[in-house]
Amino acid sequence: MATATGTARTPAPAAPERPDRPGPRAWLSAVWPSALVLLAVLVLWELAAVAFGVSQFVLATPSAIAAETWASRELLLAAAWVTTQEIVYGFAISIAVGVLLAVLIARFHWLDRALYPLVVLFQVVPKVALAPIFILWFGYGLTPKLLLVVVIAFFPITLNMLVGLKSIDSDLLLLMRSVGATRNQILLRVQVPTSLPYLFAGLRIAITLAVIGAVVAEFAGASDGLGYLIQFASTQLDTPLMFSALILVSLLGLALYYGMSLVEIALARRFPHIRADVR
Amino acid sequence: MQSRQISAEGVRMRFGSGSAAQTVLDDLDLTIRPGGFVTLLGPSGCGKSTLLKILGGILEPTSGRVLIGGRPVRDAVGDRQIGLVPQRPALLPWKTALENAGLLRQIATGARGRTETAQAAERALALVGLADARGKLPHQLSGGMAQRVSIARALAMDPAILLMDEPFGALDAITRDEMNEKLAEIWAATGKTIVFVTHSISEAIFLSDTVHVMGADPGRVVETLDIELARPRTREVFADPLFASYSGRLRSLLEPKAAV
Repeated sequence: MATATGTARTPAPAAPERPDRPGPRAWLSAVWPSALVLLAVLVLWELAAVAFGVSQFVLATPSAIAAETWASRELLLAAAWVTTQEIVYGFAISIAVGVLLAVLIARFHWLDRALYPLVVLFQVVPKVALAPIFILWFGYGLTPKLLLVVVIAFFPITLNMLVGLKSIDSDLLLLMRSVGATRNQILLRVQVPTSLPYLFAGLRIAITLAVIGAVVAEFAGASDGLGYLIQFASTQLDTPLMFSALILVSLLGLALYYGMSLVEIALARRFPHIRADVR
Repeated sequence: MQSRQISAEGVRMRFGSGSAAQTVLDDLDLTIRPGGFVTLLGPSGCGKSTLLKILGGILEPTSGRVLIGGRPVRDAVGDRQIGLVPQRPALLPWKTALENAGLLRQIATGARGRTETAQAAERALALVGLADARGKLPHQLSGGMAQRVSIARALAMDPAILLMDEPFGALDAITRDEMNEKLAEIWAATGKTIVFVTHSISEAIFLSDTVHVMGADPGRVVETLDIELARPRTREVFADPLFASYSGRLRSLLEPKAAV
């Protein structure tokens, strides 16, 4: 349990214990309504496909997809591992690029004026359309995938972090300046920690974009990965396999999203203002 | 300490230029004796916060000058002789009360003074009555406690002069009374010069030796009133007939003049 008192040097005896994460029972009661709806949809889907005699080529039934997933489990897992690497490495580079860009723009006024309009301009380029160009330049390997993930995912990170860096309390800025704090001191001691909640808001958007980036890059040209598998299955009219890969890539995105939430919770032990109820 | 007299000479402050220029302070003279508790009382827009910032060396006046102990403000700032307490506590939410109290001194002295900073922050927290809350984070503090940490942050630098900009303006009336009593205690215990900005008449009378009443358009000192109520003052002071007469006098000074 990560109560905010966890970071205090001397635990405050009077501080009320306040759980910030629901227990398993609460989690279950939060999840079961949507799980029930999902189950109902799957049952209806199965029944409708059978009742109307829809071909498995057009719409695979949940049972066929489940069977296919099990049968092709090794193929699917190998492909998932390739895509996971693309997303994770690409996302890590996106964080580095996005944070660095935001910090530099916040630190140097001339960069704010020189770079910021270009970053916004770059945002209107349909990044997906860059995939064929990256393939042309860098071939079928990992590099073009990482590049596409980065160009798609860095922007919300930079934008949110920048808003966070600029959201510093004006009174605090005045105080820091009054004791002769340098711009670097203000940046590192106040602005960067202050921006953390904004950064995580950006990361949450960026991780889902990173998944899209990896899959699209695989569509454009790949020899492995879940995106490649979807395209391959499409040419083979193997609809159940398409759905298997689609479901797996969705679960991958979900897992990465929650993985990041865990990092956020861990970091909130040191910087409790990341949690919305503390701000 | 005796040389730490604050004197403002012919301070004029203009913002903007051309026809949009606005004179916020006009040819203002002010002398504040060391160890005194002085209040700048006035309606909003009279430039009292601007004057406080000029006294603290945060703003440079358009013309005129401010001397502290006969030297420019900048020297006093460099010597950590001026402590600032802003309107809002402006604490770092991820730092404990103790770390927040030491923040400014830490920046001012650098890594060398780490031990001294920690000790000074401890003393300052004890002085504002928050020794027990040293490990608490800002979100675990009440508004009044957070503002006391902000005062401790200024005190930890051990400045000769404390400049406070409506520090209790956002607090409820009861907490505000408590804070005023606490501040009077701190002032008596430390012998610091305190310049306090407020628009509350009773707060000004309760705390001050001297009240400078300011008027707006342009900002200037219209009257200076010495408060001769006995110290230490408690809440019973509010019932003192002298308190009522000061209050009436100040109220009449603050009333807007009838338009001609």
